[in-house]
Amino acid sequence: MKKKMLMILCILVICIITTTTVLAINNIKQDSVTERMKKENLEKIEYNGIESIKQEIEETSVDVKITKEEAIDISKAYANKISKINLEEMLVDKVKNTQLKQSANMEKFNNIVSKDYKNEINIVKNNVEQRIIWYQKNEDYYSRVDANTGELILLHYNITDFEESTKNEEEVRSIASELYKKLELNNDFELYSLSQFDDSTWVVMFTEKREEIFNPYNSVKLTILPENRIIESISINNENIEDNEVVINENQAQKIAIAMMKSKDYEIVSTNSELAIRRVNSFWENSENNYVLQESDIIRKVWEIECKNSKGKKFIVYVDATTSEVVGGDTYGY
Amino acid sequence: MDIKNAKIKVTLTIICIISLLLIMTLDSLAVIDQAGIFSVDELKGAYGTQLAQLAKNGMQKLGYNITEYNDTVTNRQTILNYITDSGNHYAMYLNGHGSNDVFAIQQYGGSDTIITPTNNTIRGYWHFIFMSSCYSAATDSFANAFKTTGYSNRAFMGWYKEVATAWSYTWAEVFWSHVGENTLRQVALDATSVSTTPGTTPIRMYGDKTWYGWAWDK
Repeated sequence: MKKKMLMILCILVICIITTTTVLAINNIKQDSVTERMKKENLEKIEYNGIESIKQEIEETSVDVKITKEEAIDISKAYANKISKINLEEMLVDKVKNTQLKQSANMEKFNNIVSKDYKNEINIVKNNVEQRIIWYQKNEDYYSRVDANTGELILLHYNITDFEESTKNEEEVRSIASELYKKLELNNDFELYSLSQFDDSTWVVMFTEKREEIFNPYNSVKLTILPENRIIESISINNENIEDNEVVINENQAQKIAIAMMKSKDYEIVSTNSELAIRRVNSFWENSENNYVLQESDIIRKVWEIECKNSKGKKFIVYVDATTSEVVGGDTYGY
Repeated sequence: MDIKNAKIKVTLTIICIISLLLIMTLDSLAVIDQAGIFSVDELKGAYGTQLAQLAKNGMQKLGYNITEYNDTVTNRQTILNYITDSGNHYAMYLNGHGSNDVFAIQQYGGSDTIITPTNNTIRGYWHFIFMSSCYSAATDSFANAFKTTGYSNRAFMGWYKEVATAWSYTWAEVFWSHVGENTLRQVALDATSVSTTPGTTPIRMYGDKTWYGWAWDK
């Protein structure tokens, strides 16, 4: 009896040791970000040319969680909400009130809430974004809704009445923040960047801040017309981030980046670095300066090292904050 | 009888000439807007070829007839010839280096490797120009030189500051795959909003805000 018990115990111990060893080996393998990226890219669909980036598909050929009607409702809810905000905000500037009352924009936002639209909607497989999307449009706005999660990707009004902006960057920042607050999106995103697109339009990006690092992959971008305090478009981005631990420090990361650049015969005279959240890519997996971009779905904390050569040309190297691998980058090649 | 025959011959000849003239007139009216795609040789390895291919596909989608495609430009004259040539050249995609009011074939080349809006080399009234080089749209100088401002159905697009190569490629994939669906302005803004780059890509547009970018005869 004792012998039997001992044998069972031995078998159990062996099983536990084997399982632990196998899991450990698997973990070691998983820790290599570059290996995972290579495997992921091999599995990705090859596409060539713009026609295959975005492919219209038959509704019946794909099984999605969100129906056409639901996608239209999701867009309509956002369109109504933003229209109401726009109407309120357009009235803030009392001086322009009379002029605005006659404007096409005001009439448009007034109508959107009550209008019964004839919507055009089709389903599209986007091979770059790797998702299936409902593309919807009507006479006043168009939208994109993820056909599986029901998340709004983009909503854009068809604005025809533009007024040249007289606002400076600080004023635009303030207007954008007020508009964003009114959207009540239940997040505490902070203004990350703003840029002027043309004489009347600005693009503003709000992002999540994770352990004091801006996360641009969980963000909301607004296109605004500051002169009339109008939100022209909204896009929402919500991607999974790997919460990897920051193991290596700034100095170590810089040394790794410089060593990699030297191995490729780049002469670096200065570096600048910051801890950032970035999508890893295959930018430095090149030969003879021939870059092939394969963007990955993997998003991690990296040290973003900006390296400058003697002529001032900038190169970006991503060094993984946990594994210390070079996991991507970019260049200001223009 | 001979006089009658001669009259018929003359009438037939006149009809033939008029028909020929009519065909020629109609043909010249029906000509398709032509576009040139140029990317400098130095950027061939930095997505130059891929960007030029995307632009070619996009311009074709907008109805332009691509009459010149060159992703290994080493001499500014290649581009200047296309600008000054007679013909229906109305659209261009230019991918190269740049600084304020300078489009450069080489990043560290001399003055004979650059195109500027002030050196009287840009002629004609262009419909659609996309100059993909750093600072090409920092001011409206190039947009004005190509006469794309102040008229309807014309546009100039470019970057208003320096732009990272990989990010601009990500942006271009979204932009060119959606051109023609909405106005150029909307498609450019959407590409900026939707492309998952860490920052905003510094695209700027001058010209008609309501234009879809279609070739004029489409």
